[in-house]
Amino acid sequence: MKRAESIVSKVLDQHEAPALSPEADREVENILFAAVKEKGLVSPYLDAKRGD
Amino acid sequence: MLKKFQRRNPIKLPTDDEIQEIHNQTLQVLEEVGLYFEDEDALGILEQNGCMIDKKKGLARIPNALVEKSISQCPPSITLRGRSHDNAVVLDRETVQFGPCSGMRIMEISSGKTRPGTADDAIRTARLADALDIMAGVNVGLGFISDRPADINLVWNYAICCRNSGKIFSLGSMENSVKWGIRIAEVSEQDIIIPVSSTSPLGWPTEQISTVKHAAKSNRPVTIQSMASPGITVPITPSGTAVVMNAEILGMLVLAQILKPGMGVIYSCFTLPMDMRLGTLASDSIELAMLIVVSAQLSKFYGIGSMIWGPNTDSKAYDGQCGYEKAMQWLLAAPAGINLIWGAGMIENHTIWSDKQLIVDAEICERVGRYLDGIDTGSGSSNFKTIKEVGHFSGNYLMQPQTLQDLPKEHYIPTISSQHDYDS
Repeated sequence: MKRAESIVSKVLDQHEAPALSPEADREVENILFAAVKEKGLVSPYLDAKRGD
Repeated sequence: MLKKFQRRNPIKLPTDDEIQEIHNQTLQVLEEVGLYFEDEDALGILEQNGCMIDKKKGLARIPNALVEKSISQCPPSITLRGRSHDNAVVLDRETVQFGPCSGMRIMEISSGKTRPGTADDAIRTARLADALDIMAGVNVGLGFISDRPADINLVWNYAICCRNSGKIFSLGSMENSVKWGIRIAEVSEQDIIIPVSSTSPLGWPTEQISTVKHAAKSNRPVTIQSMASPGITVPITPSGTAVVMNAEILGMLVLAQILKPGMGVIYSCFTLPMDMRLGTLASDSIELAMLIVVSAQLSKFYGIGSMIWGPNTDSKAYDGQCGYEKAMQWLLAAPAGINLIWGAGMIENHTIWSDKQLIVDAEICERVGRYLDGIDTGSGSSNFKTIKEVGHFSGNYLMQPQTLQDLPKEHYIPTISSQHDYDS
């Protein structure tokens, strides 16, 4: 099991996850924001990012 | 590139005649007992299509002909694509793929202690699943992210999935999150698994019906799963469980095909056996593994794809129980031809997520995949040539070029299991 532990770190260190395009990423952020708003929630994470 | 395997001669538990009998009993249940749909609109649609409706009780009795027609409308093959085509997942008669599931808490990698997971944990688990070629998709390792608002936890999960992986990902059908998940998937250009869960016995609640409507509207397949609990919400016998499970799945399949003829449907056994002595979940049980094989047979009988949210273990740690329980379910589900076996990384049912367990499970999947690859008897002539050349003792195969050539494709070399001798 020690090997499994070291493999976790190794895999994460070597892997670059395929990123969304900046446009798509912004759109995902907007969807997240809309979901937050629909629930009447306040999200310090999103509000800070959007400068609200 | 995603690893896929083929299972052309799936194992069977009931005979073909017994599967036909389960189907016949299911038709009888659907026509005479009916299903409860907690949705007036759905009942109206079913009535317009020939079902007998009891509005007071919310029941729809579904005629056999409508069930048969609906099954025939389902596509025999579904392909779910990630952002890259290398990651396409196929649900058909033969293909088998593996994937990760999730837990409500996370197990610390070195101490083995559990704690509530955070968004950072979820990001890491998504990246880990994305990195492993044996994993067909991502399912953020956490069903609940403790440092994000509970009301939109799943939506946050979806955003993390698409930002940290190009593979397909799975939605949950709770907290009205599906519509947001579909919008995110459209933007990120990733296909998604959209599950709906029955409320046994023989019921479909409003939220799940709403999810099917969202899936139909967006022209995406739906995974219909029965969450029957033998001896509690369905008969305790595996055959009785199979009939109710099948009735729940086919009943929703009918509604799905009315809403969107030709809509993709994935058959899913999510049976929840209990330890009847303790009243606790016993998702490691051999009876669940048996029902998974039955579900594979039924899905092939109907010509539609299949998936499970397992294998499962009731162990609470990385131990022998965890290993043998999960391995046993994998070794039955995969040879039975379940298309998508979505359960790596979990410990204690669906309660705990472990990055380390995901790595261990990936190795089990690789071994099961090697079994599915089977034995290539086409190399008979080269076998004979080498056997003749080596002859008898003290000849050996170590120096034969054929040995070196065949080793990588014929023998799986483990990365975790220790095969050193005791003293090394």
